[in-house]
Amino acid sequence: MKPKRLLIWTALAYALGIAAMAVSPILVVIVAAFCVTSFVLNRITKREQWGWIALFCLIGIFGGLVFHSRSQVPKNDVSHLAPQLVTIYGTVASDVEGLENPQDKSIPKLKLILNAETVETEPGRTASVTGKIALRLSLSQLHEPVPSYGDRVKIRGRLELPDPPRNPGGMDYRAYLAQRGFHSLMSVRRENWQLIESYNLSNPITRFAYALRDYIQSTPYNYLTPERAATLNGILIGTRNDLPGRLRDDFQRTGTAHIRAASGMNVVLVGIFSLWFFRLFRLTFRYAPHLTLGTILLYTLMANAQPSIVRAAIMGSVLLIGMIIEREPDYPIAIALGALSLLLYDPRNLFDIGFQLSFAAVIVLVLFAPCIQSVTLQIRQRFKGKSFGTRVQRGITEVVTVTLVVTFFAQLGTAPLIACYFSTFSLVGLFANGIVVPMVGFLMATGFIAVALAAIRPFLAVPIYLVIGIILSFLLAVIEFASDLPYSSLNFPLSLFGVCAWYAIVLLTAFRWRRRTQSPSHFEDVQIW
Amino acid sequence: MVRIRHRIGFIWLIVTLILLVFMGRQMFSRRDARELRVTFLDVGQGDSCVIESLSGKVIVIDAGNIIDEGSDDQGRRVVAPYLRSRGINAIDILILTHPDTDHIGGAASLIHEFPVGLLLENGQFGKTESALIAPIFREAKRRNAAIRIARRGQKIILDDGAILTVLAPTDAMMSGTTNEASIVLRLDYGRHSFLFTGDAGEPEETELLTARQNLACDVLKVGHHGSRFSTIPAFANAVKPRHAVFSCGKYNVYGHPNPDVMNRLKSMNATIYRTDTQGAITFHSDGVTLRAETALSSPNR
Repeated sequence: MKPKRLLIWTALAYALGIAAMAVSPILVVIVAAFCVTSFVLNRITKREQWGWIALFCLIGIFGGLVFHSRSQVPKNDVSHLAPQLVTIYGTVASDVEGLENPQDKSIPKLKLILNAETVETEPGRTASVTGKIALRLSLSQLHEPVPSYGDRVKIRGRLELPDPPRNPGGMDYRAYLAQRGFHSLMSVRRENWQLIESYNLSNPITRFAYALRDYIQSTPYNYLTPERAATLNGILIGTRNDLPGRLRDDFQRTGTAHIRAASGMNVVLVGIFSLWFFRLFRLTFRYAPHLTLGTILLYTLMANAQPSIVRAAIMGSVLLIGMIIEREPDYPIAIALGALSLLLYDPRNLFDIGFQLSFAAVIVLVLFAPCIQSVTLQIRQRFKGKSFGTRVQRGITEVVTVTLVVTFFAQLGTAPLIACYFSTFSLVGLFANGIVVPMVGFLMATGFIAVALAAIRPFLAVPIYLVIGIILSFLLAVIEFASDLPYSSLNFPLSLFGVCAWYAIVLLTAFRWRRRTQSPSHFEDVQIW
Repeated sequence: MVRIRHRIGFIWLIVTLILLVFMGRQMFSRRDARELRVTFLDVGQGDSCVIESLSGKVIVIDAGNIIDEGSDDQGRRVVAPYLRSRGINAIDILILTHPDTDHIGGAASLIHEFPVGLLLENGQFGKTESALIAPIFREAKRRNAAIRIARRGQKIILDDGAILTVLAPTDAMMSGTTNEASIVLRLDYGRHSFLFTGDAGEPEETELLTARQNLACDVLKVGHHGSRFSTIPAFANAVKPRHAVFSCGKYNVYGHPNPDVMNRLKSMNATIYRTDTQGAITFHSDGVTLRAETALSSPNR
């Protein structure tokens, strides 16, 4: 008997194999033994299910082995030279962070990623190396030329290993960087940096995406206060710099941090706006999804291809391709494809908090999708009239209710992970998100329109930024108010057992609820309620 | 069919309840409720210490440094995550030993995030010109925290026999520099005692010796990050600690801790702990036994 939705089982087996290897290689050996046993049973009993079990075990073992090989630091990785003073030749492999605010008169500290190529430990003694370095560049004065993506540079500084957590509850910077393939870091002063060659080996599409991002994130500072501009940049493309620490705490306490980080929601909004925009220009139904796919790809590159963005981009692409080939969307398959693609690309993504939060939220949303649909259905039944007043009433009720319901289920999915990683649980998340999330869509649309108008003529963007400024003030006031409420968040460290228990309850409830709603009599009950 | 459905519903209810009970226990029970915990956090070149009493009272002494007008706020980056990881939702007493940036830099963000019952300062905050002080008072006012000035002889009785005593400053010390008016505290619990000296230097240490304060203790937070101007021989002799904690930053430009000070304490058989090489240092005391643990297993310098 062939299992239904093979891709879901494949993704699950692959992810479990990675998790097993991360816990202990012995677990993978046990899986291998189970795989052999299943295969033997398949041959003896001729039952097909033993064959499938053996196959999924094999996929799990493969996942574990890929994870093991990717977790090893290569022999010629530059980090083996740390800690010491070295001269490195390499190529800038990222956009340069720290230059978002052109109005800022303080000397910026820049962050970038360098792909190391050659190292010089002593004059005249060079060696070929590999590996990425997290680089911090200190300028000595304002308006100095800075490196950009694709530049080949020579730098001299002290190569360091990232710190393990130095305090209980502190961030494990070493593990965080290792998950992203970095094993060393370096701080370099401007005088120790030298440009060798511009635009060496850079991808023109990525360079265009970075240039576009630089323009998008610097423009709001010409019209808005730094606080509001930084918030808008967070909403538009997930730039997290420049926001005062106090405000970052407020976002965290109110469970609204996701709006200032590029997330799946941004991709959904970009997809919806693009489809609408391309159809507006009377492009045929056939070409609008193609162009939307391109827009999503460009947006993904602009947002630094974070796992949450890539997940949403893959899911969105699957649904758009479904539109092109005229097939019904299958959300579980789209989720499985997203997960499998990200884990095949780099199995370490499984331990990325963005990856975990993104998938946890979307899986819970899909599990409870019938509930969200039934709420929408009830609203539509209650406001059946075609008059303008009824339609407005229906629209407002639908937006508010669906936002609250979606926020509730998204929080149900992400809360245990947030409690586990950050030891905090927002008690005002539903209230804050209920007000803030509907504004985000509007801010994204107007934010991109304003940037486009500013590119044509700066004064054209002034009225739009005026409206954006007012809305952002209200949004920040809501977040500050919610954060100031007594017991806006509760601090408790949730262990892995607590996380598992939480998801067990959620899964049990979801399957029980789905079983109830699938029965016709109960579905009627839901509609009446 | 109806019977099977009822049975599934019953199993779901039981499993959910069991899991909720386990989670509830985990969330609301403190792990080390049978011992006093004193944690010296690694806040770089600065000071911050958290005392957790048996009944859950939380006292924070200093809040670490702040650099570049807002960035690298150790209150946000180190102290708050530590408190969250311990399941702490409020600070009962926040003690700011003196108004120097490396001690109060993270205070405003800490009060912004955690309700504070009492803010204890050394009496110089109103007289010192620092951009950091106004936000601290603003946040304290917003949080309805009581603000008091610490003076010698004040005692804070925590619970289960733990007593926090203010050894300094006195009114006479107010005319001196901020370091010389640092709040010096003594914590007694069972057989163990801790001495927190802030940035007290030679004049304040001499005054404490002259005033015949009870200085002998098990754990000494070495004054002024181990500067050569602190922990004078007479003071070290009077304290005779079993454990000495240096709170200083990795690669700090001041050369802290001073080798002479370290050798002086080592010669008294004191175990040396350094936040720059060992990360946070936690002492656990049940009143009879005292044990220490460090965040970094081996010095990485």
